[in-house]
Amino acid sequence: MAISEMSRVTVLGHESRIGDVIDVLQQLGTAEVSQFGEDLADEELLDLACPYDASERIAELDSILAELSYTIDMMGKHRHIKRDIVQNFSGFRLYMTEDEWNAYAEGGAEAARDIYSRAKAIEDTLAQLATNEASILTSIEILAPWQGLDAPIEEIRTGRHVELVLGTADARKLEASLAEASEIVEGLAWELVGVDGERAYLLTAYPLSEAEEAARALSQAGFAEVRLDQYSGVPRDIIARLRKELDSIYRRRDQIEQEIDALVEDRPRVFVLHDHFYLEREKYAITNRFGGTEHTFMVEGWVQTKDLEELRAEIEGIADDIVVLDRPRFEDEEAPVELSNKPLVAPFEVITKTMGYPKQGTIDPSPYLGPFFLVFFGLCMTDAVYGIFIALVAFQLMKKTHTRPGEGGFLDLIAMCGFATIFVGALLGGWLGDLPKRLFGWDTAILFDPMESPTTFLILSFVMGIIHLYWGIIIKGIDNVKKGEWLSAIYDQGFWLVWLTSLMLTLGATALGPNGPAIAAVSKWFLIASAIGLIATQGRQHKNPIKRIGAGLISLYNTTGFMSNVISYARLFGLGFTSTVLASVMNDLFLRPAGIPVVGPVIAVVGLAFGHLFNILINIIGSYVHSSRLQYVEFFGEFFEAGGRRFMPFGMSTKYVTVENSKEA
Amino acid sequence: MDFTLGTLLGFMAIGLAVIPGGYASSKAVGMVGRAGAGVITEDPDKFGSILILQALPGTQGVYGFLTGLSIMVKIGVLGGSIQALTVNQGIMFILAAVPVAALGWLSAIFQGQVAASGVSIVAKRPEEMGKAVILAAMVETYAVLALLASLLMVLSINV
Repeated sequence: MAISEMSRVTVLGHESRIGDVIDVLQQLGTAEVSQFGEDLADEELLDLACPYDASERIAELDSILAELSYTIDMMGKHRHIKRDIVQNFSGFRLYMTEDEWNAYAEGGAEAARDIYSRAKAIEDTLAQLATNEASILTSIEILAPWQGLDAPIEEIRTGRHVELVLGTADARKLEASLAEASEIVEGLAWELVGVDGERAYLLTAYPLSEAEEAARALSQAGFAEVRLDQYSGVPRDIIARLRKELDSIYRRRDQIEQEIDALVEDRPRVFVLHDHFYLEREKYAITNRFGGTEHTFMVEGWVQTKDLEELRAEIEGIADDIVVLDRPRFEDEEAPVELSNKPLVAPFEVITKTMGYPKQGTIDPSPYLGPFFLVFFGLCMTDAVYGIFIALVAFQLMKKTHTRPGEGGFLDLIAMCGFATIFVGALLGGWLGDLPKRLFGWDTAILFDPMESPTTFLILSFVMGIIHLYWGIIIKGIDNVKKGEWLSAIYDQGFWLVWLTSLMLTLGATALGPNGPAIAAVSKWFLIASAIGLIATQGRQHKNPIKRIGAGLISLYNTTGFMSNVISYARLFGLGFTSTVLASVMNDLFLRPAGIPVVGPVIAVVGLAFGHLFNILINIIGSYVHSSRLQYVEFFGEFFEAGGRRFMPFGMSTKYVTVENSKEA
Repeated sequence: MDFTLGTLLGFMAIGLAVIPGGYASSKAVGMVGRAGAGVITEDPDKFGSILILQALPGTQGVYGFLTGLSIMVKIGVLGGSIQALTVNQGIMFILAAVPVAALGWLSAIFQGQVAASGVSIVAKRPEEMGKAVILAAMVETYAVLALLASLLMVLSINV
């Protein structure tokens, strides 16, 4: 139990079996494949490269994967995956049976290419349509003011005797300035084509003989020439034609939308294909870690000793020419760490893993921290009904995420936290705060009521802290005994516990009632004895006797560290009391309007529901986090050795799809 | 209603308790939110993790409010019949509010900074999100202690 025992395995075989072996390794998902020869010198390694070069195939798979990712992104851009609240937190996942998976994956690379080219064609068409639309809209904007022009644009040009020019001028000064110009230029004529706000759009004509004169006079009159050479035809007709084209773009776009719908319909296939090729790629990529000779390959890795025999049977079952060698971990060898515990303890691994994996060969704290974590969480929430709510939500979430109770996950932990909260809440009488008391005058507290005796709650927190810390010291002591270091256990943990206990009894004698002085009289001697013991032993790594005693004296200073750790448990009271007081305030607030006829009870019930939900929400994160922190900082400080490397077996890790009811899940 | 200077001081104490924590919490929550929005643009799936980080420095506001509430209960603001406080009682309420006001304010800002940095942990190594949360929670300890001190003081004042 606790930290799994690891075995080092080596698989040897003929080159031709490499694919089969990788398949089995991936299916089982129990072995972590190490880089071959990580313990060999570079020169030795040169001759031992894996005979199979996968780089070409990997590049091929990468390009398929890139195309599928493009398709998935493209679909996501146009049609959102519907997610429920849970998936907003946990991310999207698709659940299906193995048969469904196989059916979707059937088409393979061809299906992937096909779907990609559909997606690409849709994107390209949409881009083209957008460009066309923009240019048509610009043309319409340019031509719109000229709709009054009855002549085709290409005929507005320089003729044999007459020059025709289109242009704009200031509409307000038009009459006056053109009249002035026509006085200078003989034969100047103009026609107002349209007016748009302050701009007037004009067609002007003048004899060619007066061209220079006319250009000058017109420009003085504020006339600016406009050239529409890129168009031909009557503006009205051109605009009508453009509008038709625009309509056909919009119709095409509707069609495309349907094509997108059809494509998105096939989304599960894309997800499956992506994961299918992703797993395929993983298989080829893992060969980079293999070693070998010209015709054989070698795989080295770690496997949990409990999974060893299954692995051996499966791999040696492929063919007779494959060998699986194993040996236990060397004492000082860095093996990856995996925790394995009984189902009731397994959920607490989540807490340990958040902190990091314990060093190989040390203690897995998960079983020891469990009960404390639950009680701390319960003390922080302090309400039985909140506990019921939390447990129900946890079970609901398990249903949504397709996990079963007892699989040892985070939700199991939350469900257990819920039960612990029910228990602690019942002890402290929290049933939606003090609601029973307010409504029926019931005194629900079994142990004590936090509202009436907050100091008791505070002392309870400290006592919990002392028990928790003592427990940590005892674990370390037992570990020392197991390692055969009896003296360390007595010197470091034994004396220390006696010192702390007698110190507290002596100093707190007055609080112990009539027997206090008697207890203090006895504990005083224990105090002195343990102090001498600590001073004599805590500097034992020093040879110099003065240094030795100095280090021993300084070790007594650790008492302040212990005390400040104990004080840290006041947070249990802080959070628990906050939750209790807030619950009571909610009750006070929302029971007030209950007396109003008809609407009163409705307001009260709805208000209480929201109020207490709010209280749960703001407290649950804090309860979880601070219960964790008390483990990490205070409890782990006594014995935990960090620095383990996580065990990462080579297996079926997919991105979008989970296959249920089979080994691939 | 008996209207005394002490009562006015009591009302001041409520404000003193509620405002700094709420101000700093809203500032800190906003800080984390801005950092987190960038990550969510890249990967909307991280919304849940970011939300938890963002919620962390919000508790100081609640602590301040809670202290304010318990003063209100003591003075009788909620009961509708406000007590006539002596000047000394009023000053005591103000002094009781000081720890949660000062430490709530400071620790929320600091916690917000740690949580905002934690956002980059969620962005780059989402599986290590728990560590980001714990780092931020370390800061909160002192706000909890301040709340404790303030609450115990408020509850000990006899009205």
